[in-house]
Amino acid sequence: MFKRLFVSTRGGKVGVRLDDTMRALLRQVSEELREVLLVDDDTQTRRLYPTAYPDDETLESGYQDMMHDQLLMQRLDAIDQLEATVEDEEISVEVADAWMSTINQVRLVLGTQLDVGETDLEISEDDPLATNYVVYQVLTHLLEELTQARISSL
Amino acid sequence: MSSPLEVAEPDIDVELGLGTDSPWIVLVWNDPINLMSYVTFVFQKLFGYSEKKANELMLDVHEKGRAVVSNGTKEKAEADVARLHEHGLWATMQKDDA
Repeated sequence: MFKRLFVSTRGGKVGVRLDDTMRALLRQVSEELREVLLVDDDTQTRRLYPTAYPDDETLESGYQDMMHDQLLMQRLDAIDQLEATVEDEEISVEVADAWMSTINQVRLVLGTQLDVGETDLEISEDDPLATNYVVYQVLTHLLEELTQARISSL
Repeated sequence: MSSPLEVAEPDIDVELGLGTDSPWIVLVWNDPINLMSYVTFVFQKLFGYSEKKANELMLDVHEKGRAVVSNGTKEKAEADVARLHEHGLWATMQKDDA
């Protein structure tokens, strides 16, 4: 029987039904995401800072000057929230959204690295990116589950 | 550490004579990484759209490659784009010339 990993509770919170392995994975990817964000190598983080004004360089430059650090701070804060609650059995919707934010950012970084497209990737077991692909798929499942729990609580 | 709230707003509005009633539109573009359910959820959460409307917009993004998800003044559109970017969606804005 398939067990839901996240459930919307009667108290308006989100129940977390993850085992230790999943929680350890979340802790690990959070740490790695923090490093990636702080190093800020554009080849890794470009999906995290999309262009707002594709047709206007001046406006775009103003937008990035204004928003880049703010987005960075919001993301680091979301990572902190996930790390502080990663062992919890129940989290608030605000914390659940911080989990979603962090999980999706890791997916965006990994997906960029793996060059994910509309068709399924074919990655052999001996490919150096094979582990990253497995992590990507696991995080996709976690995000799908968390999204379902959050949608049912809206 | 400086607070992001202290960052000064660029004064491009004045230079371009925008920011009054000039209509801007916010577009979300299809991308292969963001999940369909997640995109629907973000539209509901950020814009207060019903699940039906959010789902229709998400399907537009998925099938037509993009959808207009909000509109308004330059300031409002830019705030919406920033919130979409915060959630990892590929959003852009442009003047509504239609």
